[in-house]
Amino acid sequence: MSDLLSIGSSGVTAYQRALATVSNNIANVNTEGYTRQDVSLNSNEPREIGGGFIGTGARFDQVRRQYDAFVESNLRNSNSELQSQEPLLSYVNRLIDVMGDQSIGLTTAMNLFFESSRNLASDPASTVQRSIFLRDADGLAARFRQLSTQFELLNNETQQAVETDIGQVNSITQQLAQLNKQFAKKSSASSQPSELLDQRDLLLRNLSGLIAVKTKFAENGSVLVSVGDTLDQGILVRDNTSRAISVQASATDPSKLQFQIDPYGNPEGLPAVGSGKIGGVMTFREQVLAPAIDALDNLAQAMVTQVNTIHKDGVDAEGLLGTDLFGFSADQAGQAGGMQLLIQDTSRVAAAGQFRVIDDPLNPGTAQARVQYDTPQYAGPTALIGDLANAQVPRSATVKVGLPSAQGFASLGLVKAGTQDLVLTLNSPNATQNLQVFTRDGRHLLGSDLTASTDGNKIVDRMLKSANGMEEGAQYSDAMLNAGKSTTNGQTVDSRYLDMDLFMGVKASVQYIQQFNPSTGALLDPKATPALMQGRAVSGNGWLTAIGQSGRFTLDGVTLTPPNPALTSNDPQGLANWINGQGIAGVKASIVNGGLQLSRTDTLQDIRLGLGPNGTPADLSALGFDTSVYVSGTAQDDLLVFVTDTAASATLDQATVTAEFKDIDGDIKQMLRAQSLQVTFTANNRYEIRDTRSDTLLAERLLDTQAAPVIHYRGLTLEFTTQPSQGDKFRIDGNQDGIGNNEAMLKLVALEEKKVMPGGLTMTEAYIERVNLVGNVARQAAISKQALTVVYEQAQEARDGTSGVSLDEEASALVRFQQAYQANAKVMQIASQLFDAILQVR
Amino acid sequence: MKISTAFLFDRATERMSTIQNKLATTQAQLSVSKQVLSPSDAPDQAAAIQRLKGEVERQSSHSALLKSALNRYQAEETALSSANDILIRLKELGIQASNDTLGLDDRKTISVEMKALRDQLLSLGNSRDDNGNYLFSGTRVKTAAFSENDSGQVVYNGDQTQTRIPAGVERTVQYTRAGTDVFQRVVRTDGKAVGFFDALDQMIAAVDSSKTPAIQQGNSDLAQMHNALSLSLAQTGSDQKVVQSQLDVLDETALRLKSTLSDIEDLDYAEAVTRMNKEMMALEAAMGSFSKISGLSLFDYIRS
Repeated sequence: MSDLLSIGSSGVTAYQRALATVSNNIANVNTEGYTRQDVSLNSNEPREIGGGFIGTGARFDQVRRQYDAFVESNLRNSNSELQSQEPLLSYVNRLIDVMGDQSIGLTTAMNLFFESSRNLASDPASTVQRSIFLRDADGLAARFRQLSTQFELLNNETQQAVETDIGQVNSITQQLAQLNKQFAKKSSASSQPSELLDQRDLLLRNLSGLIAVKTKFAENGSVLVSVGDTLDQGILVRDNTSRAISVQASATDPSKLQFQIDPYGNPEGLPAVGSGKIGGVMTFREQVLAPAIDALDNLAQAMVTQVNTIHKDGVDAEGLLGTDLFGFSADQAGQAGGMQLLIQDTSRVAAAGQFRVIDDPLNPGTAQARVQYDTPQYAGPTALIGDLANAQVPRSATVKVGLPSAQGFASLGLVKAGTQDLVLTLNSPNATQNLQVFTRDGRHLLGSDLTASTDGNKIVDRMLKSANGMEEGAQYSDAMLNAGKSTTNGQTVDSRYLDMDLFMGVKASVQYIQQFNPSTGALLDPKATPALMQGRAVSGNGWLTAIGQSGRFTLDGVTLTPPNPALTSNDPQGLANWINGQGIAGVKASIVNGGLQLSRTDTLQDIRLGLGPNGTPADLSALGFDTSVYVSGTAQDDLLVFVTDTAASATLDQATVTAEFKDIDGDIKQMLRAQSLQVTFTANNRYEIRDTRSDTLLAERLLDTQAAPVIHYRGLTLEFTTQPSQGDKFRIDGNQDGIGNNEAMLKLVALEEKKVMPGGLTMTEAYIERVNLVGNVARQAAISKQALTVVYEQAQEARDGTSGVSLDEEASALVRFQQAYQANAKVMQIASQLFDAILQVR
Repeated sequence: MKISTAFLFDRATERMSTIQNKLATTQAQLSVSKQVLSPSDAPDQAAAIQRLKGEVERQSSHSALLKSALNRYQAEETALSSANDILIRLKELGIQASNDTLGLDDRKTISVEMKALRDQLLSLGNSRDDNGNYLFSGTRVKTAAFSENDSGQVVYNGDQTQTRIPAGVERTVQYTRAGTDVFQRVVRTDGKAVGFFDALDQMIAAVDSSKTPAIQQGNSDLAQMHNALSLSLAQTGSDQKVVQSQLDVLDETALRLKSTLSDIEDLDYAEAVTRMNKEMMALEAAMGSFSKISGLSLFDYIRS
């Protein structure tokens, strides 16, 4: 009987505990992360009675946690993957909304800008159109700035999100460490309280949502968490210590974020975060946002550079060259956020081209002309040869040139337009050597008449080739050979080339010496000393022969006549007397140290001892002087310099040339603009180009009537709609008044379709391409998210199937245990009744 | 595999909220009548939409410019055809004046009428368009093209610049016309060129003073001038045709672009309404079935 009682009571106790467990499950039906607890009942040890065993009831063994580690880790991993897509998708969609929006996106602003440039091109004089153009240009710059601000906002927001999430990760790992401490009290997981294990799993699941983790569980349930590539790297939680992660902006690139584990203890770098919410945000930052910001900055730079190049090449309404239209603010150079419009004044909008051509209204022909300028590419020399190119005062340079036989000349190079005060000297010339100065169009400016000598014609033909720097179709002309100014009847006629002061011979100028006030040391006006020319000592009869020929020398422009009667003695004094006797005003000749000295009495003019029509440098050499070419002031055009030797069979002679010049300062394009050129057709196939200001004939050429009518001059290209007729005149000038031409605007309009961005895209296309790329990422993220959601839901379902609480299941368990409890209670009741029966035996 | 209670509820709510989201989107689409509400709705189409919208804008701005060119041409045509009529009359008068039977006074009368016609030509040369811009001054549209100086000679105050406006991709049409291209110089037999109004004034002076050889010269000048003007008139007409046909091409292109854009962006109402009905039905079914299934619990059946 007592057995019956104890068996019954063991059952009652057991089922009492079972019911408690079931009701625990029911109570926790909605608890997050709760694992269903199942009861495990075992029978008690049987007792041996008589020859057999009798059972002693049942006992409640333990609560079994319905937990599958594999399913749980599957759930964690798929959670990480899914959580990484969600922020990526939402941020990318925001980015697309910003970039593709009508009011913030760039396409509209760029279209408006080019549209207003089209309208301005059709009406370049209108101030209304100009102000609309400036307004739309400002709108474009503002739109770049706004877009950049939006990107900046996204950058900051994502950075804050990452920082917040890292903070959460750190708090979770701390809690896990605490839990591990709790776990240390028991030795096996099955003896740990189930609730504690549930907490651990919930924390791990939340952690995996933020960042992908690797876990290892110890016997007693404590967990090792790491975020590195392997379990040993990047350990965050081990036993009861946790390590925090810190996030910082990188020192080299403030927009990049860097992670570090345990920065204040034992620092370990975390190269990248792959998965989880933090991974998703980082992917967005690195693969979508950062390239988009770069692309916007590149686009802004391209726009600014391209537009400025075109604008600076134009002329504004005040006749000035255009300046930069767009620029960047100082602290944001090169970034879209700093783009600004630099011009506010409508008259500074450069719509006109730098050159224009005007057809004379009285032209007999019907041809219309258009002009363009490109930097000319000439064959031939680009500077003076050898060291002469660097012979800038105070340096001077000397070179030797060889004169190949049967060629008759050697090029000394190019005197660039803008060269100032050049002196080029032929040292110790032989009897047939001379210097020659030409323009690119075959105008012979200084030297000796080449056509007259025996081989002269052929020399000129060989010289006038484009390989020597000549223009195509250049023809020889000596109309301005050794030209100068002449005054007749009070009228001064200047027949020099572009009014340049060119002289060949020997020149002595007025010298200016700096003076200082002896007492105060202040700078005074410079003192002028009269021009003085001193030659080498003359000897022999060379000079005697030279001055005896007529037309050899000129002094101050006057040709010197041979002495009459002829001199017989070679006493140098006779030379001085001869010169003094020529009656050149203001010049006094004397012999000093055996050499001829010419001096002036006044300080107004220089002394020019030049060559006459029959003179050669050898003649001047006989008088003790070396012949030089002088370009005074600034050269207005490119000049080609040669040394010739017209001897019938020139052997490999050497000529020695020295040069020095003051400076090279001049832009040939602007010099060309300052000129006013007239192209006149003297015949249907012949034209001349003349500078109208100095009335200089610059070029005479033939036109090929079989080909399309085009003229090139110094980089200008003149195109005609049809063949010009004889008598047609076209004027080209530098468009100084600015209005009335839309060439620069037309180039700006053409920029819209020009493929200036890498990959052969126009600027608008490049922006749309970027929107496309972002859109692709969004699309892929959406698809990934769908797929990963399915995987995650399946994992959830699996986990729930094992560990979830179903009320119906608990209800039936409740009924089962209740009945069992009632039955065992009944057993106890019957045991008590049986005992009563025994007690009632008297 | 069993389904836990929490799971059951979670799933059901999730599914219902998905359908509700879809329904809300459909409703928004219906009210805006666009399929793509914001670029993120169709990210792979966002670029295409941008490009098409940009193209449509570009076509319409080209069209606007061409329409203003067309207005200009039409104003020019009006002025030039009046000038044409005047020149015809001048030629008649010139032939009349060269008739030997006329006397000095007769010729003076003719010269008076010719002078009046010449002044009319001058004012036609200074015609303006609707915006008050002079038609024949080249790009100096605020300056009158022709004016008389102190000695009565007609001077051209415009410039020779010919501006061309873009009218589509890689195409330009002439926009401004110089007065001297329309009222062109005459080239006489000796090769000398004389300006339009100068030649006209010389003719009038000749008629006035009855100088027969000069009148003959004037007649041949007038013939040249009339030819040149007719040519300009024809040129204006043909430019109009070019611009008009370009406008037609642009219209067609714009239409094509707009319909492509509409395919991507605009809503197909029939499809949207059908979709909405389908989604509403799905939502009702989900809600109804949820309420029925969630009401089932074993606890209700356990007799207490």
